Amino acid sequence: MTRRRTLFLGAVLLQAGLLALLVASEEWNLAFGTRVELAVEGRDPLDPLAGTYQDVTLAIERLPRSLARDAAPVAPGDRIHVLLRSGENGHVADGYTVREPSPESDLHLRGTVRRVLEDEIQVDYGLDRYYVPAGARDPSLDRDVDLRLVVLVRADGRGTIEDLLVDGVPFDEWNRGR
Amino acid sequence: MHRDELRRALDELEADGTLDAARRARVEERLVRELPPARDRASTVAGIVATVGVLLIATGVIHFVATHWDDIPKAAKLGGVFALLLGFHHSGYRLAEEPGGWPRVGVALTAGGVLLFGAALGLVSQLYHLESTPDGLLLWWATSVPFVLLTRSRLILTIVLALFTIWAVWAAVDWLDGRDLDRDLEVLVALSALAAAYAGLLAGLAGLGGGGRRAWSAAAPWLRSFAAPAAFLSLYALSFHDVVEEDFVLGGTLLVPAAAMAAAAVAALAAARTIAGARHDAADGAAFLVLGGVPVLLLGVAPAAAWIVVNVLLLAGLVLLVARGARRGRPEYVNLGLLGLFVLVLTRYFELLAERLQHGFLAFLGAGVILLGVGFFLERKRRTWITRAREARP
Repeated sequence: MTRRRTLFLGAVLLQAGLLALLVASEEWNLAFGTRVELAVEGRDPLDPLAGTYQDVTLAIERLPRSLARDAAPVAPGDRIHVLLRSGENGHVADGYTVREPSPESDLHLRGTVRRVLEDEIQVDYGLDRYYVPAGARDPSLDRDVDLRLVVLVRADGRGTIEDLLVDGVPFDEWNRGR
Repeated sequence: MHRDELRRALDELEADGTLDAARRARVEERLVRELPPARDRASTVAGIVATVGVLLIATGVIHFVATHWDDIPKAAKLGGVFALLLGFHHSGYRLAEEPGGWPRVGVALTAGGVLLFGAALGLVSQLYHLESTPDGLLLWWATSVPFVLLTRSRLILTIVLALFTIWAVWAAVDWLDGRDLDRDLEVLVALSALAAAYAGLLAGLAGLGGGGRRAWSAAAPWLRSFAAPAAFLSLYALSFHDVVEEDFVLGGTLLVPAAAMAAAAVAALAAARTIAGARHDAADGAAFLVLGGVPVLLLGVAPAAAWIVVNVLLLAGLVLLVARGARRGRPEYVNLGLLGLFVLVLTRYFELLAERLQHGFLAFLGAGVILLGVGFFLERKRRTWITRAREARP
């Protein structure tokens, strides 16, 4: 094999390998993650520009600063671990810390601090989009609908979206019923 | 004059005794040196046609997937993406390199593969409900750079530069947004400084290519032709009278994205100067950094006066660009400098003068006189400067 062919093959395998790694990582989350249900506070209408998706805003994206477990304040860009506990409306935040909890400690979700306000912080978990089939019904058109995002969380706090529950019904099933 | 016409004219001059064989040879030698290299138009057309063909195939595939999205199982979607990605790259390599013989079509397919990787990232994001972030674009850019070095294709280089530019702007705006620095003026100042630093980085990278390194040397002129426009845009964005408010406060946080880019630019310029010995590119890059940096820093001291300084710097910078292009053998600098001067004069005319004129016809007359004057000037001077630039070409 010539040097040039080896280099070209390496460049192609780098792209294909990284893509495969991304897929494998998400599949691993879906297979072995801990299932949590997170309440969705706000949702926007469908946006056809980026494919068709629901823009979901999790209730735990805004955390009171009183939940801080560390003495030092957090700043925008800091990675934090939000401890979760089961509540009446799915899982809720029980505290947050910049220190990575040990694997055997409480269930936690990893996020990045976006804004620090006077009495709360805003956190981005990278769980803002739930893609839906083209032409699917927009659940935000229904009043008083209960939306929950089903996320599978790994021991290191990374989460992968599995489903969006509309009044407790998986999105596809709810959409078909409509 | 067309090359065939030149050849016929030389034949006639030789036939009527005006030129002897030795003098004709010297004239031909000089013409070869002066005239731009002949383009293989058929080959260029083949490249364009092949690229359009690849884009149409990609669009067709995307359209098919989009219309049958819900009917295709996840494994089939992923399998299809990998098959297409590997197929495009394999075909591209086979046609361009081994056994070769179809370089334009091969490079077009490789470019299609580079674009397809972005589509593949988008598909995976959609399948797993992943958020769109600048990181994905950075990954796309980083894994596409090797194809620029391997193919030395301007098309792929342009794609890679576009990816890096979009990533840099997106990452900077995202970073500012996270710090509540998302007012229009704050974003404009931050992006203006970023553009100046980017111009410096491109000049540095062009300098590294000018040092005879084969993989980069083909990219050097193309990188150079993007560097000066980036520097021009950085100043032009701040040259409008109403853009800067008097109470503007320049915070250090605002300049962090530009500072990061400037650090990369300084490293590239230092490497270009010391390793590749490209002192002209290093000087150009340093000038871009200074020209873009001074007005931004001035905004922190005297925001009300900044627009005057920006316009003076812009004017001086463009004149220097034309002079440098003519002296250092870079016709692209001459053309860009003249185009910049034209845009600057017309912009300031409409901004400052036209709105004060009571009658609309006066505005049209004024603009017409300016354009005629510029045309007259270009007719007389541009050709001279371009010729001088070609004579000075190293």
